[in-house]
Amino acid sequence: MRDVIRKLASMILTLLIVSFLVFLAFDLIPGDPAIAKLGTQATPEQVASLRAEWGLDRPFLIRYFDWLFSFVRGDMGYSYHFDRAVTELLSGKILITVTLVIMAFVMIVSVSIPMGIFAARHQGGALDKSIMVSNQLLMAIPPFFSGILITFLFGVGLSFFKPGSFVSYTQNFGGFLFYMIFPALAVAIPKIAMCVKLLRSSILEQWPMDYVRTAYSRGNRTMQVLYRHVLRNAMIPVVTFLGMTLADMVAGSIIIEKVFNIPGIGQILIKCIEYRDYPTVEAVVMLIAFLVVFVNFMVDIIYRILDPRMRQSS
Amino acid sequence: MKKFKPNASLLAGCILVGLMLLMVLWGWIATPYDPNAMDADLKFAGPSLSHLMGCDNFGRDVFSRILQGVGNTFIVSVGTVAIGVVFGILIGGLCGYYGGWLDEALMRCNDVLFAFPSVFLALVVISLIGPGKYQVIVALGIAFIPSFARMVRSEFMKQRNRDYCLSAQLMGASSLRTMFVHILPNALPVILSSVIIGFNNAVIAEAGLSYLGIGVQPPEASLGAMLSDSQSFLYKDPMLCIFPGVVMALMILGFALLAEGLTEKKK
Repeated sequence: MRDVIRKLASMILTLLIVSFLVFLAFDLIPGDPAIAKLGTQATPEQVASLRAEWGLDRPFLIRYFDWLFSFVRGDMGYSYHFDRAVTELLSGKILITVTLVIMAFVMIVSVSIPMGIFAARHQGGALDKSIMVSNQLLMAIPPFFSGILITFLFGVGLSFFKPGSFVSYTQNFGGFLFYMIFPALAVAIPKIAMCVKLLRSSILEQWPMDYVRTAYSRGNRTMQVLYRHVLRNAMIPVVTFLGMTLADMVAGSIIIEKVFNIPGIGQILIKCIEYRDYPTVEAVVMLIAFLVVFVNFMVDIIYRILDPRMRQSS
Repeated sequence: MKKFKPNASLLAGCILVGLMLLMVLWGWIATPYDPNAMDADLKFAGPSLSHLMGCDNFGRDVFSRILQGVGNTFIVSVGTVAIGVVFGILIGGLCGYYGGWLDEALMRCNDVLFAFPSVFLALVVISLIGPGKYQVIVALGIAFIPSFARMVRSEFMKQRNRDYCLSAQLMGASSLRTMFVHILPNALPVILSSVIIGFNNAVIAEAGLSYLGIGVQPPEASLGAMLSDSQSFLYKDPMLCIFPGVVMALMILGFALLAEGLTEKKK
């Protein structure tokens, strides 16, 4: 328990450091958002009054703490470009990106774990070999290319969905979920391939160990040894991988959202990078940072459940 | 015991990477056509003997553009990996060799950065310094430093207390000399295989960023941007997306196989 609290504290400290660095970085880059908004013809008085309105004329540290405290309260600042509160701008979009990531994650876990176990149990067989070869190929296809291929196959060829016409969840929730299956598939495919490969080699690494022989000698059948003993140990690297994948998929979804024309966090981020709309970029960066740190924290907790040694050593 | 088998992954990886290098060289020396020359008569022309991979929506030769795109991907990947390796060796080497508070402080920062996906880190840097080919090299390079630094550090820590290091120090070698003349060559095999994995990741990341339109800027060709452009013409001319996509996948496959072959060989 003390460990968990310590981890929690270090998580909060990390987020504070990240938030300070992000705020500092966007403050140091040249370019005045007020001038960018008003155009170069604006009079100095107009610029000054807009800067005062946005609170840009205050000292750096005051602005940082003001931003930080309102961020914690759920006010993420004001988007210069879209002329709206960032919270309002992002609120509907977070749900879309999170749905995409969760769907892909469910696909990865539900496909790769049985497949990895299967491949390990039939090591060297024809099916195992073909799984390994197709894995190697699937890992090499970047998600946005497989996304285009999926669009071509299911959208253009089989007309399961209309390419590029996103179904909003406010209008048709079922249609939204159905549309999201295809981008989630594109995100999931290379990760499934990696996860199968990792789980397979992790199980095979455990198999010659002494505890497996002991478990057999005590009269366990192969299935019992596999599920009660081996898998518990073999899952440890897989949990690490899944945690990293979750963070990675949030970044990957930025690209996939463009392929399938999904108005999620990624599309907004790219637009705001283009328009130099820093409050929104800062907010998205902080949200993703929070997610990454939180996932790492959860992975640590799951470790402790899987592996009692971790609970003792630290 | 396994019998010795010729390592198929290594061989296939070498062939694919070799082919890629040939394409890079070909693109540098002379592309069959000017990659930017437009010909209204050849819009969406299919593959033919004079235009191996057909022409795009502006009537530009796709094969020439792919050669230029592969070249650009290669430059970006080399630049990225170079930045990652050089700073990774410096930071990881110092941390691993000296240890102590320096190690603690730098590795804490490193771990925080390492947790973030590299494409995301690169996007943050790009939003600070703006889009473009050289900006992408810097952005991805910075994003690649943490993983190299971590790997070099653990390797330096392993080597630091070996006998050859101690005797080098006894003979009066300075710390810097021990680090870079004695330890570094011994760490090279490990560094080499992560360099190749780094190339693999760099190609994927570069393609993703140029697909988003923040990498190599048009009219210069890049595989990612070609894919993004081809998407508007999926109904009309699906071949436009197949060629750049397949070339990209083969590049990634080549580096992946090479890395796998090298690790297999060591076992």
